[in-house]
Amino acid sequence: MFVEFEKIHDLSTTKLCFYTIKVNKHALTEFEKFDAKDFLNHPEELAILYNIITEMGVRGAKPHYFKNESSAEALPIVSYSIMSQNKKDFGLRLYCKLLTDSIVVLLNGDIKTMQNPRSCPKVSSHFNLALKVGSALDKLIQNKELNLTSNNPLSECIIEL
Amino acid sequence: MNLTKFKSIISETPDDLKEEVRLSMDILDRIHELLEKKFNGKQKLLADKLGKSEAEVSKWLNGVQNFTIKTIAKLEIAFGEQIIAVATGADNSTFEQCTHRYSSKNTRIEVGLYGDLDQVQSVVFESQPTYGITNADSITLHSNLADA
Repeated sequence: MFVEFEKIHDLSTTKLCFYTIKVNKHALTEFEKFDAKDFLNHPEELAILYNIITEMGVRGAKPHYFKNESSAEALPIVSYSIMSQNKKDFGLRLYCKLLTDSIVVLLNGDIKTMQNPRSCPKVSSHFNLALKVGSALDKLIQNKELNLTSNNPLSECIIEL
Repeated sequence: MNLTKFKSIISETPDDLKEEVRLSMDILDRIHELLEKKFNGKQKLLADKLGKSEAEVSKWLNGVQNFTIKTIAKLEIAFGEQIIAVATGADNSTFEQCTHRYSSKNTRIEVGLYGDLDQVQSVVFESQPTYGITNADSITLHSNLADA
């Protein structure tokens, strides 16, 4: 599986660069696939998620905005009052990778229907992909093969998973 | 990249929900600022001070929360500092006015031909998302100016 990174120009700001990925030269990026989905029972969560992303562009990406998921992260963390509006599931998840306070990779996600994301038919593939991409990026950083201080650091980055 | 839904959801989000997200993130940032300052960033120390479990405190410290006044009051007492202030004209208020959110101050210094200080100009501007369509050129120009 080949993963290419693409900058999301529409969301990136002077403070924060958002990237997403394209898997095996698919026509759509993972974040475009997420954006194309309908979350009819979760309109408020989706609005909160998108507004958090927009607001992060203004103030930078801080770890406390994210839910840690081993080598990756997830958005959004919302209050129980919002979560409890949908008792049938565990809410919306967008998996991502927080690299620095100015670089975030937005991936894909869905409605989490089971406590363990690995067992959830809707999010498990997105969760697993996020962990793989996350650890591949961690390894590149560890081996000093990825310089996050450079301009547009992921633009030329292709990884094989 | 086609993010039609993203753009329409952002433009259709009611102002009160936008404000709720912004305020929640402001409060969260302030709590983390105080956690770092007062407890070296250690949630366990804050939990001990509050007499609560670390798991319970952790819920308050991550993500967009619907904080109650009660929770904020407990945290303010634990930190010994204010988390929020109220905008009011009352003489006895503790409100401190902040006019620029997330603003940056850049100062341009021009040195004349003989090394003399020719012109000093400070520019304060609020960080704004560009959405890839606004005048990004002028923002680049500002960031190239020498910091004070």
